[in-house]
Amino acid sequence: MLILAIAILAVSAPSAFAQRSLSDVLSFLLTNRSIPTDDFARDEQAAAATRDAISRFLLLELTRLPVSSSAGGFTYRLNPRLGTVERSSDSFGPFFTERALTAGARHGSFGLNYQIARFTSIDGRSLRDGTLVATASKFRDQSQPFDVETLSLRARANMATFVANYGVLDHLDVGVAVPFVTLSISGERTDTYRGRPFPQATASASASGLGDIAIRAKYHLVRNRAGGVAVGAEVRTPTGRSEDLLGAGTAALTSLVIGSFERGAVAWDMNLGYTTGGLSDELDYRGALTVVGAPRLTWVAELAGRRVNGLGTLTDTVSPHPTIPGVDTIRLTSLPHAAEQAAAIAGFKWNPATTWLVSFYVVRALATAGLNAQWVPTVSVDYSLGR
Amino acid sequence: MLESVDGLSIFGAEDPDWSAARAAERLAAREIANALDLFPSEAEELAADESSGSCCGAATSPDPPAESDRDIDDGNEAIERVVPARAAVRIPWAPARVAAMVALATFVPSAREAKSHRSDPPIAPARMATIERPYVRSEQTHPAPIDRQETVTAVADARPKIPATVAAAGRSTSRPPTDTQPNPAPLKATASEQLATIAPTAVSAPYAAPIDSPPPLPRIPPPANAEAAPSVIVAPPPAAVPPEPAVVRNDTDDVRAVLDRYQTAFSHLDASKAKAIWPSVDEKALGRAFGQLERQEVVLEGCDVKVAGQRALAACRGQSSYVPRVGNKAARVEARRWAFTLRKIGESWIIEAVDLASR
Repeated sequence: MLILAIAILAVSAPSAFAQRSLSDVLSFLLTNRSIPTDDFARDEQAAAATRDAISRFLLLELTRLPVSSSAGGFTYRLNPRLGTVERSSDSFGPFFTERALTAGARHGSFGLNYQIARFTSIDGRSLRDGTLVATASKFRDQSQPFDVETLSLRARANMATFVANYGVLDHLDVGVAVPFVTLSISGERTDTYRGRPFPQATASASASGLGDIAIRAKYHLVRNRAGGVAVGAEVRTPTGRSEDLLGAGTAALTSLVIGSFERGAVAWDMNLGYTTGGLSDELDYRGALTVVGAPRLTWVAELAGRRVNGLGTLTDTVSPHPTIPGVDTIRLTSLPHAAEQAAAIAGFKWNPATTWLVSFYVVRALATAGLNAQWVPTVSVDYSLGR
Repeated sequence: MLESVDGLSIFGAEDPDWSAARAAERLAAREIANALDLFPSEAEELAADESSGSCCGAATSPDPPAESDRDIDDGNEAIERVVPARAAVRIPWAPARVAAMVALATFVPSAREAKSHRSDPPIAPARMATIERPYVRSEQTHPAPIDRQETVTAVADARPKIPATVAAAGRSTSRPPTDTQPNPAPLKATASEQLATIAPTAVSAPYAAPIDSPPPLPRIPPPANAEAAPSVIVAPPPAAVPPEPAVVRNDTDDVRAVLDRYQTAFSHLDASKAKAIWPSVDEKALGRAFGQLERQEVVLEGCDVKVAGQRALAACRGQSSYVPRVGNKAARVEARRWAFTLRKIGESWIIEAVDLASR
């Protein structure tokens, strides 16, 4: 599975940008080149703030890993009340939302997810149509700038994540998610002076490699068949190269409370988590509804949201030109505000044979904050071991 | 009806006793009359014609004259008018007919019967006869010879001596009497009564038993050491049935039977059968759990059953093997321990609770 993941990345990604990191390329594209603001220090500050914001947005997207285990759908437990064994859960569980059910002692599973994200907007602004204003000069008595530099950016992330889960105890699972990420960014900066465009800079770069590995554990505190309450913890290790935007650069710890309820063919799962470290402190909330369409098929609908304290938001700052009266300089920058993100996930999990599981889902952003793709499709294949 | 035709068979018989043949001839003619519902005179005439026409031809010539043939044919036609079905077996050619008659005379008892009773009293008028008369008239027209009575008595006396009531009871349970029963005669009777009761036994038989033939033997074979007591008619003794081993089902057996049913219900994935012996189980949940399994086999071994009044405890070991519907199809075998709590309701035991654990 690991070899397959590496092969996928090798095929899909061009060679890494050797000389310059992705962060450098972003800085290059975002830094003013042509507009005489007479305050390059501010220009650089604004460019750096914007670059950092975009980097966080990218990294934030890479941290959304589907690590939930489906092994419970293949586990059969003795029900002493009935005097026979029964399936631990009729459902194979959601994608991102953890469920309280653990896989069971000595039950393992592993799988590979492959996700493609093509980002089209950032904080509600289009990335690709050249309307993202990086720097502009405008007369105060006019509504439109007479000199403007715009940025056109194409950002794409391919992520293959190897996930494994093992039931150490009947109530305790440990798992790991190892992401292999390929990021590619290309863009151009264009100066438009009184309606005439002049390309200023172009750059492209890509990077691939190991992302931040997540190690997780879950303990089923209160069990009611597949439902109940569990607690979980996840540590994200800074294994990804931060300069290539493959990792946060610092470890993060997420604590999670999980509640699940399953009745018949329908199950609800809810998570509430808090992350410290990493990019920023973060509050996660997720909810999932799973419906068993057939013994081998589970439909999943999820809602995943988070509030990231230090994510920041892109904004335009306006400051008077230091040397030219009546002219304002507009810069794209980032303010350290908390940002809300939300996404809807819908898909299915299908068991074609034995303990193989094929899943497909799409992610659709519901909020404008951060980097957003219209649809993020993901396909995954899992296999459960054990009896 | 057959007797009417059979009566013709005496023509071809090589009977040295001609008068006997004639008597039989007349008897046959009357039977024809009976069958055809003719006046006795017509029947006599028909029989006379037949006998006169056939005596010579039958005796002197293997090829009867056409006249005789015609007479016979007339007789047959008369029969056929009444009994169209007989036409189907009509033999058109005289020699062949004679051969057939010889065969019939040889093998059909009624012909022999007619020959052996040439001193029969006059037969009742044909108009009063019925087709069954040859069967029922035996007690009047053919009184049984003394030696036969003795034979019957001897046979009856040879039966084991048991009270008649016992014999009646035996008949009613093991072999109910029927019309065709050859020997349903009461066992306590005089010799004449015995005969009278033997004769009607052939009421629905195809033919009357010859008078000098031995009576049918009792179906119940006499015991080897049975004494012959002519004056006492007894029914066979009741079979010396060895006393059955006392099958006394105690509560422990009943509890074990319930455990067997539990084992069967769970092995057959039958929630309703499980509910029958374990009323408190959630049948719906159990059915859903069973539905998740492709097959299951539950084996209870070495159950230790303890009964205390209306309650019982059973501790069993064993194993459960199952193949799930979803997932790995390899059979999973798990050792188990069961602790059953049972309660007796009325005469039956039910499972009150099952404490199940893995070993």
